[in-house]
Amino acid sequence: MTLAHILGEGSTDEIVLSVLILLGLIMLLRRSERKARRRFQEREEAAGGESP
Amino acid sequence: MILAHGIGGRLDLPIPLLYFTMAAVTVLVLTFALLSTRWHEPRLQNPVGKEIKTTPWPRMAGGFFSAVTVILLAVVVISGLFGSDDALENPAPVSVYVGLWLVFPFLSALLGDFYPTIAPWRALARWLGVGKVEKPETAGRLGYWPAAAILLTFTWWELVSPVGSDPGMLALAALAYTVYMLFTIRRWGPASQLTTWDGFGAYNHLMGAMGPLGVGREGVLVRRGWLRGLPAVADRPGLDALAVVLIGGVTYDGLSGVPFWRNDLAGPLEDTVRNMGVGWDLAETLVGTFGLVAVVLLMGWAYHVACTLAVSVSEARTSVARVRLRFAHSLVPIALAYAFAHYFTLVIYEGQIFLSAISDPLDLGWNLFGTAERVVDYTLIAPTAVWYIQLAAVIGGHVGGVVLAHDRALVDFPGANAVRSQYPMLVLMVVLTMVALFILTAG
Repeated sequence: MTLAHILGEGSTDEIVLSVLILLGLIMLLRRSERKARRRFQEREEAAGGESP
Repeated sequence: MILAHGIGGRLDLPIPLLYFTMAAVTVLVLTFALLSTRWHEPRLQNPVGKEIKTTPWPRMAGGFFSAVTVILLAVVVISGLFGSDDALENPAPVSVYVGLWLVFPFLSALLGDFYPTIAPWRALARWLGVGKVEKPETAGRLGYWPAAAILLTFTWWELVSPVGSDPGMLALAALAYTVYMLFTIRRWGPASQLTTWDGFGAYNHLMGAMGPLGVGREGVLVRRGWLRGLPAVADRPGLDALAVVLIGGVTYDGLSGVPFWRNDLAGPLEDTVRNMGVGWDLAETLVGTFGLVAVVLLMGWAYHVACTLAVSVSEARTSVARVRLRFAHSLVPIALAYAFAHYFTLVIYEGQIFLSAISDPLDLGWNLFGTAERVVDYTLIAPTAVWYIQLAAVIGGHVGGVVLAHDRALVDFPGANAVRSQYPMLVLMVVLTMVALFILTAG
């Protein structure tokens, strides 16, 4: 029982493509976290500005 | 249980499993990214339902279906004790393993938690006037733990026990459960007993919280969005254990059918146990019990690790135990997805056995409803359609889990920490998705 068996007896092409997809998803997550952090910060600043 | 699940194998897939897995993972990650950037306020924590005008129909339907389930309970007991020994000809196994265990929760998730109204034991208690006083203190202290233990025992009985498919033993178990239910309803009251002492009550309570119909604060029937009832489920002790038992039980059932499990894990372990002088049946039961408990514990450990990491990365001042309870409701759509994807073919195909078995419940050659000779129609749904329904269920359940967990994180982990806290949960859900797809196709 190898990892390839668990992954569906994937060929090299399948595994390479999957790794590329995973890398793309990780980059997407990093980008969305930066965006989310900026949004939360803006909201906190806006909330801080509204209250005396 | 000797009924076959009727699930297609890996060779049926039009493209490699790895691509399906990547598609599922991509959907989860995209959902997570969208939630991170677009969903900054909790929206699901105070579920409000639209009141439905009261009509006599729900009460009348409840009374009718209560009577039906009590009759079915009697059929399970009588046919189990006096009917055919063959599980495929006796209505008892299919009534319990398909009707009670699968159809009830699936319908609860589709409609809402109707179980308290029509469960046969609760109807019997009402008719007998049992359980007039509520004692909620014990239920509050023990939470869902007894229910989780009952569901684990039931899963063991069905999947591991050597008598799981014996209609006679099932009838005796149904009788014992009836006595147990009447005793606990009398002792603690029907409302306090429901999700603490009744495993099926707790199971349907969780599934029903996803449904569009619920009971509002003043006891009125309300309509709400799907999943909207789950954040309101009380995070009492054992809620995490209950969800883990539900997912772990299905996972064990799937894994136990995988050749690797049979040939490389269970087989050698059974040989070792037999070499100690233990008989074949007992060795199989011991190894099966070990496997079931191990898989459930492994699921629980994975969830515990995800919650520990969530606390750690979010730098929140809260305990891991608290987080485990607060986020356990997000596992419920996954539990439904696991159960539905794994068992819906069982309901469609083996559920048909009920039609023939109920026509001759005592194996006397009767044909009460003209369906005694009916054979199972395996052409009702194409194998490819089965796979896509399973895939949609698995992805949908995990997306639901991600949404619920994100919404709860916005309350429990303020600010940007909410997003960061959910990375471990996302990894857990990705792993659970991969496990689900693997066991569905490798069996």
